[in-house]
Amino acid sequence: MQKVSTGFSMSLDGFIAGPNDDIQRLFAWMFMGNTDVKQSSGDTDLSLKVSSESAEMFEQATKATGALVAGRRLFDVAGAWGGKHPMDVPVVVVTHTVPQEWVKEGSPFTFVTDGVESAIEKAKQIAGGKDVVVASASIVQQCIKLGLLDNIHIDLVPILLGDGIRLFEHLDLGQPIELESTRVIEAPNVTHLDFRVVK
Amino acid sequence: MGKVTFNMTMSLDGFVAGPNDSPENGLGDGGDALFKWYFSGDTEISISDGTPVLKVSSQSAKLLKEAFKTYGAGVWGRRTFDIARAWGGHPPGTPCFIVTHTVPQEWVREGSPFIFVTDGVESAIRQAKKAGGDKDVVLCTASILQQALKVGLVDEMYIDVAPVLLGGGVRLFDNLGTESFELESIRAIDVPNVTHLGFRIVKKQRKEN
Repeated sequence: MQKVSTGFSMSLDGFIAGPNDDIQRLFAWMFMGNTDVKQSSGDTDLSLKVSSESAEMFEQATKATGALVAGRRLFDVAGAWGGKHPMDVPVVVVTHTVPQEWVKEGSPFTFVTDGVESAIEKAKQIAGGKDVVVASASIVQQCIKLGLLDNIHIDLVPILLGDGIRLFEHLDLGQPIELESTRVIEAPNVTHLDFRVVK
Repeated sequence: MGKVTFNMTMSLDGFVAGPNDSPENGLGDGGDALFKWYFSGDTEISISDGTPVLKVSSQSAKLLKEAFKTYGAGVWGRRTFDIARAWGGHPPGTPCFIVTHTVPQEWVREGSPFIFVTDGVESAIRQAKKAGGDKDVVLCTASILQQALKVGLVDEMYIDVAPVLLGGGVRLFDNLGTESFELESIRAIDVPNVTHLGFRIVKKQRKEN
């Protein structure tokens, strides 16, 4: 069954980026282990060195992911990942205006201008039966409100950042959303948490 | 020497109470989901005389019993004290220090479980340490944790993550400014209806002269 999920490194106080979009400290755990995870973005080698526990989690996540959904802000901040996302899967970008330079044969990016629901639908089609991972906080928030999110995966980083971009914000839910913990992996420098959204 | 620790239940989206918490609505809108784990297990456990008996999972019961053993004294904020209606005179732990600007005189009497501190969080922790002896001082209010973190007084945080999104309410980690705090995971225990996380605060190294 095809799922819509999240995958974020998040500080204990709930931030997925620090002030000025700084992600260095939140991503540090990906370079502190002894197991190689090969990946690249554009021409840049972005191979990771994680613990064996995290490597197993990465491998499962990589196998399961068929497409990503990102907001336009992330797409721009990430510099279009140099033309290829490190996970090497197609990315559906939610935007108001389409950056024409990326509309071409073989582009891994699909631009959707009619909202989050449509973007998720598009990503599900592209993912070929595999899962869709939402990579932007603002899109996750809209997916939660629209009831489109099935799973929440968080790589919990043992730090308090104090400020930055919060994953869970602007939700103003009418009633609480019940979750179920499906897995906890305590790895060196990070704790991997998985929850299922109870529908 | 005892440690200064913190313990509360937090939703995955970071709230320790839902919106609109008040004495009539103790955990705020939808906040009852935070304490589901206290009442959905098969192991009975009593926190203190006069408080309801809890029914938790056997794993949670084990952790709670360990926590009781190391409890020396607790520090709460006045807002929590009021919302909990002074726990009917039976706080979750004693001695029970309450940080406040004004002392509620009805609780100042022989045999009262409460000690009111009007000169701030640092003073409350200092007094609680004295009362707790070798055992730990446990902070149990979000605003108290925030203030104690800023002055470097917290050693460990035990956060029970409830599997729920509340969408609003009282944030545990708020008003911290932009100074970051490095932590170290002590535990991550997944049991039915709650994930017990524990972190040590990595103290900044003092420069040697």
